[in-house]
Amino acid sequence: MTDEATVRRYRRLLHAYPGWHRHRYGPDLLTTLLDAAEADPGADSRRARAAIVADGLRTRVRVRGAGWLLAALAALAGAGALAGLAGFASWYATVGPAPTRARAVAVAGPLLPAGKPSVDTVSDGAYESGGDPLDTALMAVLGDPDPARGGVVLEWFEVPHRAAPLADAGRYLSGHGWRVRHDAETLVADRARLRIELTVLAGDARHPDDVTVHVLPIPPTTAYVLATVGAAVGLVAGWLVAAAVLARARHRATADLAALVLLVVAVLGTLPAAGLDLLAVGSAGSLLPEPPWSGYHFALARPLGACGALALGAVLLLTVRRRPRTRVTA
Amino acid sequence: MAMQEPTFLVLTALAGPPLHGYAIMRAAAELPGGMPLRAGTLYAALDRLTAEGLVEVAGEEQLGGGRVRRSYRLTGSGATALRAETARRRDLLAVATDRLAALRPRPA
Repeated sequence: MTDEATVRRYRRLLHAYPGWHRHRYGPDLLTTLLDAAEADPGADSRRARAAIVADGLRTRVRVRGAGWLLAALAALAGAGALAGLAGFASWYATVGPAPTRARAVAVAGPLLPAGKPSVDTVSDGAYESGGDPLDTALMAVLGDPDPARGGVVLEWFEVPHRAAPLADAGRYLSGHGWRVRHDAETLVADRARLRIELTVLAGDARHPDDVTVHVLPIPPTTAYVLATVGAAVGLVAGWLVAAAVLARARHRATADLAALVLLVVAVLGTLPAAGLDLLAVGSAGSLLPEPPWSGYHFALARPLGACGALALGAVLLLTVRRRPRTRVTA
Repeated sequence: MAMQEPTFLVLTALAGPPLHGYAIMRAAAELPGGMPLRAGTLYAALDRLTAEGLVEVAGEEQLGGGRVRRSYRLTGSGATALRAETARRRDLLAVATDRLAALRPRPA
């Protein structure tokens, strides 16, 4: 006869198996393990218990046949979605205050061309309007669709050409305590939680320059770190959800097949935005890194993303709430 | 496609009266040329085989304390699949036996 402590120990070990497997086979698998332990005490060794956990974890990640493709895409979609979510949340929890227009003009004054800028945008929040009719239509449903880095953007078109505007600006800013980096077209300078991005599309002796000055809070490094962590968690979570949905669908219950169809919709819906989020996370080390949620700037991704998110919610409801049963045919 | 060894052993063990989980493990180990199956391997095979309709649950005994003991049996499709695999292995065995018989020992 098996003692209660052994039963409890096996019950705990069986938590390594996914929920769908525990509901379908758990009570029977427990009996089999106890039968084996009773017949052969060696079957209850530490090694055998480790094997139970390993088998359970393998069952969580196992995907059969062509299902690996859906699981891989679900993993990518999960990685991008969680990277975007973690990046967005941590960005606005840690970013410094946006500068006013007066402050921006004060710090960047000597860099600004003479005259009134052609474009003058001030954004002090997480969002700015897109101006696209599709964006405007979607705003009622999805909120303002263009999360932005905030700050003051001033643009001058066709100003008189200068020989080396970035080099001059770099020397000036370095001399005033800014940390400066630049490439052929763009200069980035950081000081005391504030950043200046100066972009010059240089013409030549006969063609004028276009100059853009963006003064904004320094993009927080934490956002990229947490977005990377979110990507790793989402990668694993996406694979595990897909593996569970595929495993359950093999038994062809209507709800499980519906969950599989919804998962395909969810993956196809979220993948474009999620892919762009992942690219943005990968741009963290570049001169002008994209915010980690940049995928959601992509107009086509937003309605798709909304459908995908709804479908994913339905998948989770169907797989988490519904408990599979084993049919007895006797 | 060739059947994996654990699958073949489970189907062979079930080619008879219905068996419960531990009885299948014991039968698979006691078959000539058989091997011990871990419970995890057995239930992975049972999940796949029941989904494919090759094996079904024949009965369920409630043991109390949230435990059950299910017995499993081969379906008609399962018997067909086992026959086909057995024939494939028999043909392969015959070819191997013939080739080995024709094999001359190399001179030292």
